[in-house]
Amino acid sequence: MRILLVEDDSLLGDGVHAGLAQEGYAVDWVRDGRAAQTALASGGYDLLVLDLGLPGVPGLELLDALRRAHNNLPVLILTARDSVADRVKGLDSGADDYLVKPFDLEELTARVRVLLRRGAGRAAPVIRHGDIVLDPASHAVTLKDKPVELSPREFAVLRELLENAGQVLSRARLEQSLYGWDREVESNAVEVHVHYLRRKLGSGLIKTLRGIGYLVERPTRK
Amino acid sequence: MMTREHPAADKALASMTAPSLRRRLLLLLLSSIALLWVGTAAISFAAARHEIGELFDAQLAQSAQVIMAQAQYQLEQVATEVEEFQHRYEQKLAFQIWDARGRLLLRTANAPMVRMSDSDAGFSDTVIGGAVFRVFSRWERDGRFLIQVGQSEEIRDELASDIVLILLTPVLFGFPVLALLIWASVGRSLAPLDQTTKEVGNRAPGNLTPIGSAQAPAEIRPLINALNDLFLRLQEAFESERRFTADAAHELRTPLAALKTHCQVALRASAEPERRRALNQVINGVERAAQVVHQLLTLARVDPESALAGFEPVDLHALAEKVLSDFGSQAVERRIDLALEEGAGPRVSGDPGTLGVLLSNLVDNALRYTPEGGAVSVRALLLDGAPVLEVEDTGPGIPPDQRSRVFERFYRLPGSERQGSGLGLSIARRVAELHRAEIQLGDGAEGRGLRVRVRFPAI
Repeated sequence: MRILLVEDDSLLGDGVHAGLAQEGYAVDWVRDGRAAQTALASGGYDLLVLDLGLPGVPGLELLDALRRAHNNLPVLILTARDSVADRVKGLDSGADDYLVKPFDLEELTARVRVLLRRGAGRAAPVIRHGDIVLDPASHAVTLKDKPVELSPREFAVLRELLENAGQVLSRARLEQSLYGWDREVESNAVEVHVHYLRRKLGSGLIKTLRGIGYLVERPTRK
Repeated sequence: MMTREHPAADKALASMTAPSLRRRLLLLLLSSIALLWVGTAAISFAAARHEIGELFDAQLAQSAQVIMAQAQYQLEQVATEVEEFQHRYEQKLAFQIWDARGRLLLRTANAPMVRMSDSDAGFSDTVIGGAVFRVFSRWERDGRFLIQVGQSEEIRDELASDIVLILLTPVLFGFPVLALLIWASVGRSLAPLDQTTKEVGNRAPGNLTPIGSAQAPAEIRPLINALNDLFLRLQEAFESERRFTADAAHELRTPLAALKTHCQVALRASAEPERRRALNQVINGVERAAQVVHQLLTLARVDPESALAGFEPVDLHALAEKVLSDFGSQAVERRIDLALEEGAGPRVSGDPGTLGVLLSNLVDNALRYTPEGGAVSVRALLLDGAPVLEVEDTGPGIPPDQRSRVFERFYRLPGSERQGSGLGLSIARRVAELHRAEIQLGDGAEGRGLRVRVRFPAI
């Protein structure tokens, strides 16, 4: 899951970046509206976390441009303005949710999960795939009701594959969802994580299509 | 000193001693009417007295003829005393008839034995027995007889007084009625003032909407307009305070949000370096919030009244020396060449404390935005007779269209990261305003960087 964070305050941006990274999301952090527009144009994000008090292109303008371009990317607004009028204005401009500073990191990550879930077209808080249950909130994964220990990266790869069950995900796409711009990616990192996931959850779950990518098949309806 | 225990009594006392428009108007109008009345009475008396004099004189002359006609048979005897003549004012009418040789032929009892008047013809005034008499003298029958008819003048004054009194009696009775009318009409005229007083008095403290002046008379309108002006200025002041408080609160929210986030990141961190890093960020956040608070307090303390009271001669060069010494280590650390240019510092009249805040804000800004290896130079000089303080840096400068906006509270240049409180230049401008100085922003030397010039009023 790849998140674009637009925050001009270096201290707050750093905190939100660290908090979201703890949840296993890949976070790209830009500090002004223009850089945000460039990043959005390149695509590949599952969520936009936007501070409204931006220098350069104001946050609401950015949001407006995004929606006018028919981009349905889920957007969570961060702002210092807490009047009802301000909140309504933010939501009416096309934001999906709204958090007033100073917010709680727990609440931020919970709202991020909701928006990502809705973005993936799911309403249930947990992802079920056969005998596997993945809870994005608690980062818990169970196989046949028994807990499975996963590293944060393994969890992130599994979440990405299950969210997109039935689709082939390229190695580059998985790498993107694991790492922000600022992290060095080892060339075989994805292969290593997939290898451990197969060992823990059974070799049949993740299929490799040589030269194309990885696939988790759609769960069969019971 | 008045005690505050009986506010009602104080108020009553104040309203008694305060000049009352109604009382003043009443006093003024009544006394001028009274004066007018006395003047009218005096003029009326003089006029009446004059007319009565003419009338009585004519009567006196006529009486002389009548007496001559009636007395012709008695003129043969000498020094005859006749009964007093039958006349309406009989007591007061006296006459004598003399012959050409100076013998008194006929006289009334109240007439003396000597001639009443030395005059031979016409009217004359003379004193007989202590009373002033008007005497008419005339030679009759070809100069054979001299007749003198006299009358006390007292009657004329009496009559004139009677006439004036009759004329003025209604005015005398009208006087109290007039006073009442004046009292009432002054009250009525002042009613709009009372209404305005009530309207202002009954206002809620926060109500600063203008008072309606459509119904008010022209005399009160300037007062209402002045009040409305005051209300407007108060409202603007309140609005600016409110906006400032809101801005300040919002401004503090971002560092608070950052603090909270880093605390939670630290709590959730599984690895020690991650936790240490988050906690260090917490410290940074506290420092930043503290800086905002410090600047806010500085801004609040730049108070016009207290600052003006402490004005004294300030040597700008010495001031700059003192301020720059605080920035030395910061400049060295960032490899910025911070320099104070040589020169005899001009003196200004000002508050050294707030002027120090002004300069240190400018230097702080210059250091903040100047990249490593750059230069910040400060100079104090006289420019066209005006003391000037200049801070020049080799940073990115400020585009001309942004130069007026940077003085707004919490305004930050697009593209600049939030580092400062956003208040530095606001504070600098406020201090400059207190010293009637002007802050001008311009390009630095060779068109690079920023030059901030604080221009004080010419000596």
